[in-house]
Amino acid sequence: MTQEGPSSVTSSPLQFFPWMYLSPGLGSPFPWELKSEERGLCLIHLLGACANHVAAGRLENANIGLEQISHLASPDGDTMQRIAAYFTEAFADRMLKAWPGLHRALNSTKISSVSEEILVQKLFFELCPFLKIAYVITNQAIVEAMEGEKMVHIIDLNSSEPAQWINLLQTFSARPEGPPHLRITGVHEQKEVLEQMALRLAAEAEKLDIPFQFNPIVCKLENLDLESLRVKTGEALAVSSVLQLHSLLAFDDEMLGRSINSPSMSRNINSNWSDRASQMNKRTLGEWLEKEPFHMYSPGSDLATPSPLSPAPKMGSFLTALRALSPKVMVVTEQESNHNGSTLMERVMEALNFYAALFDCLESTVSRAPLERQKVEKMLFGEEIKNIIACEGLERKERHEKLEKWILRLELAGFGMVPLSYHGMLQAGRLLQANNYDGYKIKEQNGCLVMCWQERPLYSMSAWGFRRYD
Amino acid sequence: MPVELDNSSTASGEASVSSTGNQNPHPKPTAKKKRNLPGMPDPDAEVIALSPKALLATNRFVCEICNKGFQRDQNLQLHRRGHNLPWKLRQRSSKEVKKKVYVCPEPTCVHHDPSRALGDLTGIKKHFCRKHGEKKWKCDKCSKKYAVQSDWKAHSKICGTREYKCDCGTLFSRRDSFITHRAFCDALAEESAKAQTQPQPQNQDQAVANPNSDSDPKVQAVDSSPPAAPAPPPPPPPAAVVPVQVSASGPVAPALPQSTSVISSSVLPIQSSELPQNSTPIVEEAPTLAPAGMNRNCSGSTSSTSSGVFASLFASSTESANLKPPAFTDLIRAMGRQDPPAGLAPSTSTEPISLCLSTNHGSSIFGTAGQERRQYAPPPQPTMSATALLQKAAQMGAAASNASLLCGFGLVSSSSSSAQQDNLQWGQRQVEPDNASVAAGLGLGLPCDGSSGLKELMMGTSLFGPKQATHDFLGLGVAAGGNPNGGLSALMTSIGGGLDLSAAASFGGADFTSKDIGRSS
Repeated sequence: MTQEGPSSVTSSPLQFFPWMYLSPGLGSPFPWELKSEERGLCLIHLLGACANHVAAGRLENANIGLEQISHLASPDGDTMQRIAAYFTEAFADRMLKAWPGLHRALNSTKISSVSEEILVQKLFFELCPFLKIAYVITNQAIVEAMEGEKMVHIIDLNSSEPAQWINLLQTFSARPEGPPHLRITGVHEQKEVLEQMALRLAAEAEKLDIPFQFNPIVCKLENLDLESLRVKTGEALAVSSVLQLHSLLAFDDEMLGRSINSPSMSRNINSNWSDRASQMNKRTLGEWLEKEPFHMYSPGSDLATPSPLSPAPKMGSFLTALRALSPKVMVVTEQESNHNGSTLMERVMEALNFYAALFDCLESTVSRAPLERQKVEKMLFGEEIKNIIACEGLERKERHEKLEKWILRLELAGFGMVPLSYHGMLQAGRLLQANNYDGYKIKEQNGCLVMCWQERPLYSMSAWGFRRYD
Repeated sequence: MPVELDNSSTASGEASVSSTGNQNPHPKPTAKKKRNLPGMPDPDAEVIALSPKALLATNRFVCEICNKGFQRDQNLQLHRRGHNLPWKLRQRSSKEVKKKVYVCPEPTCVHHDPSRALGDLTGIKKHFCRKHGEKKWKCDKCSKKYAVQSDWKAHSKICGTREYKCDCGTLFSRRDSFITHRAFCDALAEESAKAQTQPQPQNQDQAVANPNSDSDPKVQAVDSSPPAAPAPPPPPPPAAVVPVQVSASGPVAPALPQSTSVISSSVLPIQSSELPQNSTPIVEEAPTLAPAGMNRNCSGSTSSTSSGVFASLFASSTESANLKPPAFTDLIRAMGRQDPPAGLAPSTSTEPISLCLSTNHGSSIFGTAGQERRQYAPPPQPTMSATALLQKAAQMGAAASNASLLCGFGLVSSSSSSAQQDNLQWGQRQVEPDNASVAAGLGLGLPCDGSSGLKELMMGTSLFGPKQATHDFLGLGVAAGGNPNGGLSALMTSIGGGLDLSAAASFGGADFTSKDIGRSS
């Protein structure tokens, strides 16, 4: 028996899973027909055990675990089965990285279709109300902040859905004082998306007779040079970040190394800092780093006081740079879950709970049959899960964190929270009701809003403004 | 464009006067001397056909000096005085005022026909807008659109004021539609609530009749009323299971109406747990209900490792806790309908995590029949939502896992079953209340605790640490293996008590607990 000690345990739940330890050659180990719930619970047990093995590097055992799960999981089954399918794929991906050549070879012929990705984003927008609500709230916050402003400049950190700004254009045109001169700068990796945005928005602005300008910036968020945004004086600036900021945390991980507890790192951190800064050759980063007090981010201080915030110079510098532009309002929407834990088990647990809720939500909002749901699950959630579990360092972009951490980060960068208005929340609530979205809730939490599915918080929204240092 | 005049006095109803786009600021009404059929229009009335532009024009009378528009000629005349222009107020004409009727300019409209002309200018204006116009005004509460501003205003005043709300959440502005809906809705609700076992005896029968077996014995036991025999259908749980569950249905029952027992696993625990408890809810992964029963089975019948028992256990508890997410809200409502006991209402709004809390101490988890173990008859829903499954697994894991102490949330001291754990328990017990209260106080979300419970469960699989922790202490370092918490367990045993769990279990929540642990120990 390769497992340590289970046989010696007298009252472990696993005694009821004797088949778990059967040799793999037995085929399907389940002699009896499992009901959906039993199967679900089995899957959870198995997933946990497998995650454990993967985390500890016990590939053999993990392999056995994966095989057992494969008998139960399926991308076409019920919710738990599908979740298990994507999680096991993520585990497998992670395990495969132990053989980099193998991993590379298997992934080398993957055709990534830009149009599919765009489609999936669109599907997610249409099927679930989360993005819609995020946009509504963002726009509401912007409109409120821009009351009386004649020149408005909006920076969209992920400009992919025209509906967001079309809604804003319409809201602005209905403003009692008339619409402002509006400029939107959209950042995205794909040129086609931005072109499409430009077309749609220009058409809408034309229709509404609003002076409008769209500036596309084709680049990745981490490479965004804030100078290129060309913020003019006299413009009222707003920033909209919908599920984007967390990817910047990947860089901090890379730069600081994974173990924030290692004392050696803290020593080296400051010396490595300027090296890395120059290496990265980013004007923004280097520029701001000089101005930032290092001690804020040194892991040493983190150890001293048990702060839940991992040091994040890149994020910090980006945020500080943004703040230096003096935006009137910045609305941040992020996933409300901690997928940035340093241990795999942590992330697996959090991700399980988070994506379980998301899958449930998707299942209940969209009926089981359509292909669309599977697409969203596979290409959006599945990829996120894979990223959270199988990737490390720079690769792991899906570094979701909870609202409290974002609040800390933003405050650290000099932003002051602007409470989201009640009116916006009402609007969002009406949107949900009017479109028969059942089971969703919007909760207010210290001026921020949290979108929940059946009491499980999924996405958080907060608005930030310029905080003067008194 | 010149207005067409049709002077032929033909039979009534023939008129096809149409005035096209009229640039003239003073749209001259086409005097159409036509006889009109009776009905409303006065046969002697003068039919006036205005162009759409004229109809919609608000200010038809324009001052030639300053181009200011007025709705009435009288107003314009008075205005002209200010420009020292000759003005003339038309007096009410001495001769009898000719009655005017108006036709709708839209050819397809039934009112286009002079015989169906409307007698009021404002009326025809509104009619034109309503029927042939674009709906520019939208109610901001609901999504109704209106072409006429006054309609919109009138609606906005009413919108949302008088509403009937069905239990299922649908809103009605009309009483009749509400009643009709309710008739059907109730039927549906009752159907789904069947399993929820209404407090009334006859409902119990229904509940009994439904395919959820365990609810029946439970229901009976709890209610001490003898409804139908457990003729209930499906997987009849083995006798061993039934008594367990029955006994587990504690005295809590009387406090809660039967129907509440059906509530989803996540909701129910709180009711039962909060009611008998006066102390602050202690965050324990200790399962409140289903798991309790199961654990007892586990511990009690360790010999019976038969998967059969387990499976049936699953079956029973499955059905009891089975809910689809939409049904969740139904149940909540059903619960609400039952005029919830004090502890209930607040409980439904609390965080799910607190729902999973049992306020018992670890030892009592297995023990007392007073345990809030309540077998509920779930609605006949086949699939459980993933989140519910996870919660359940967390409860199960926490309860059954002997590795509970490892993850250090001081949860399940289900360790009562393990003698080896005793030396660890004391530390743990001390830690528990603090952890619990801290966590509860911080309102940790479900994921945190759920995950910790799950983590325990999963850790338990390979660790089985605590048992061997004592041995580990002696340096065997067995189960610890590659598990990050393995060392922790040894550490814990050696130091004997709540520890620096933050190092090992770097949950966000751990931060809190570690502080507390530090304080407590």
